[in-house]
Amino acid sequence: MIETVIKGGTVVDQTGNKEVDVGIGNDGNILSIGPDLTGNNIIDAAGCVVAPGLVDLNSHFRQPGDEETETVESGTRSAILGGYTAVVAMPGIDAAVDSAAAVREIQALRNEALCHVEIAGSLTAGCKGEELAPIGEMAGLGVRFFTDPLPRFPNDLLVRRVMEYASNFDVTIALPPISALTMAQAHMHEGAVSSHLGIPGVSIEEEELMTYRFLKMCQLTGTRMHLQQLSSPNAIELVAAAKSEGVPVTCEVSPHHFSLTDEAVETFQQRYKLLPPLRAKSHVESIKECIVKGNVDAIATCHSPNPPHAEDLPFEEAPFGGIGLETALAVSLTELDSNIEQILSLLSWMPADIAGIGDSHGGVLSIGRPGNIVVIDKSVIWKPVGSEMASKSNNTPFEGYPLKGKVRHTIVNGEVVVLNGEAQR
Amino acid sequence: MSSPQHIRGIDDLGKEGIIEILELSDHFLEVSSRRIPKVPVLRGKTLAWLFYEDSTRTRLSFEKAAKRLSADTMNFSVSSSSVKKGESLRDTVETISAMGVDAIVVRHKSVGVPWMLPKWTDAAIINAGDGAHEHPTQSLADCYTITQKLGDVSGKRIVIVGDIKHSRVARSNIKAFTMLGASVALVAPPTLLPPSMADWPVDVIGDFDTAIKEADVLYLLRMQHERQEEALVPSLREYTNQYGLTIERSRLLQKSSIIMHPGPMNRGVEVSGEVPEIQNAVITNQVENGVIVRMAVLYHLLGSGVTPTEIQNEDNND
Repeated sequence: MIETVIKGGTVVDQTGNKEVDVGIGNDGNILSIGPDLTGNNIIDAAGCVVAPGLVDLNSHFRQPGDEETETVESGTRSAILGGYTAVVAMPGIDAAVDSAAAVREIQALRNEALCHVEIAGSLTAGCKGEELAPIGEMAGLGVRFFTDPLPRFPNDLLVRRVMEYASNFDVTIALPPISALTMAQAHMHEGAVSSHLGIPGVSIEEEELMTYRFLKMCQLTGTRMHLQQLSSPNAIELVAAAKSEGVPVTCEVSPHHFSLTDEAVETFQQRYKLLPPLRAKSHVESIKECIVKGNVDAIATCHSPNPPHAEDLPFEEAPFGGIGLETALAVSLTELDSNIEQILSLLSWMPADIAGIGDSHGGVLSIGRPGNIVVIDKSVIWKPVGSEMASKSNNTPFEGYPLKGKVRHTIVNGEVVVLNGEAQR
Repeated sequence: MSSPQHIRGIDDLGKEGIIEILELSDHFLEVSSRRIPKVPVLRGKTLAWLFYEDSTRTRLSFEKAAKRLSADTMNFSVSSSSVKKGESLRDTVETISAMGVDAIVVRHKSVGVPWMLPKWTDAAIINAGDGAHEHPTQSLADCYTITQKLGDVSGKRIVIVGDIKHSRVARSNIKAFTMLGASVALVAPPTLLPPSMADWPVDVIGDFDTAIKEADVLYLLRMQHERQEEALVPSLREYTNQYGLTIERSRLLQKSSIIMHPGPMNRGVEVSGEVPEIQNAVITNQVENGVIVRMAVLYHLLGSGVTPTEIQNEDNND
């Protein structure tokens, strides 16, 4: 018996696209795919793209620890409104996930989540870059992704130790090529704008050097690595070259790095203080080309909520980070000269595979698979308003930015959690 | 021109605005030379000092300017106030604003703070220095001093020497000097230059001895001792040898050139200790003119009803 029918849309998945309806059964799995399906609950998808739900590899939910800024519930509500059916929750810089107890605490919070939450563990104890976190113990609890969100490695030896140690487990080491040591003094991209403003910046070459060092360690140890938050076109080229030599590496970029430039910092608003920083216009243009060429594996949000008072802080005293789950798809559709298949591959099935959840997310919409689906209206034109978002934070770098394309419905395990752009829970 | 609402950076004034302040300054120079150098043009106006960074010279200069114009002043002492207890910038500004102020003079170590304040207050904002970004009233004092001593800023070769990278005085001055038609050359160790200067309207000259010969104005910047610890210069001794005013180098200066410094000067660093007295220095003029241009700035933003030529002492005002 078909419970829910997604009717009248164009199904786009890893296998191509076709104009069919999708029927979901009582168990939440896809029961039928074909023309003219009927069921108890008809979801209108006329003129829309029907695709496997999006998967974010880089979300920060601030829980446990800073529930006033974001919770698993508010963060995943933001996710489903953005078309995500699964997110990887990063450990916090101040809230490391570095023990079995910490993993279990977040596993318990999954009850409050509105979509699947995959847990990322910390690589080093307290994310301090000194001692290894118990990677094996956490892997035993199902953790497949390990990261220090702002690495503090004092030297390459620790990176090597982490990667060597992890090679015994079927896990992925995710790292942004950023150093906490460098960023302690920098607040933006080093270039013409930082020079005029007199704000200390970090050069894009720092990212390229760090990328190269991480790639060499990946090659040396053979442990799977996912490079997060690349903002340098050269760094992306380095990754592509390493891949062609068989190095087991993937990489992601964030929507703000292919849409916004460092000139935004001239407004001194916290929402433009991002990590890595917004780069110069020429970098932004080249990043777009790297994506269209196929040298990027995933678009990830780095959804980083900050408390409301953060926007009142002077730029050099403000924390890094902006929210991104509710805008990533629309920014990608608006900014990238890619077809819908490529955009969905970067937002859905490739990140699903990188996160190790390709059996239930991303991939194909086929009979028997869980009903994790997004319905996208590509023609809607809208402008994000931070204060109207489901995230507890308002700090979107896309405030008032004209975007094209919006999520109409999101279905998680067969349940319609977003209907006509409204969260149902 | 219509008055700007704020003076946060040189761009708030533009060339026209700078010229207007310099012209107004002549009137206030005259006022300052009177037997009683005090006029009632800002009577009833309230100014608040909001200094998040230590400042003696700039704050005193503003204080003196305000008193000569008969304005009331409030000092929000950051070091002994609620800010120490964690009060936010926003709460502080909203509190001061609620008491009723016409202008806030703000200094902060973070770039951009003067641009944030109008979100929380209707008062006019005057930037007394934000991080390494801008210090527009220092710049106005410097332009006025150059005009006084050399007749005009336009057409002059101005050589700025020292830590450009961390200097708000340099950033405001480069804008103001070039707006007024001067040509600006910078001399600095490459570690103390901003990382990207392709679009700056200046010449960067590596050799001080070459640059000094061209200078109508030699503008020395303060060199901070911390730069040695940050590995930006090997030692202050080497800095003085390469980028300081030594006796030999001072002989290369044209007779008519003037030497400026925003203060406070590190004797023995920017100027070698062996130079007994700096010939042609106009540093005290810069300080005097600091008060004059700040009077002009305050009048420009807040003054109303009296045209400058009619400015009378209170006791003459019948």
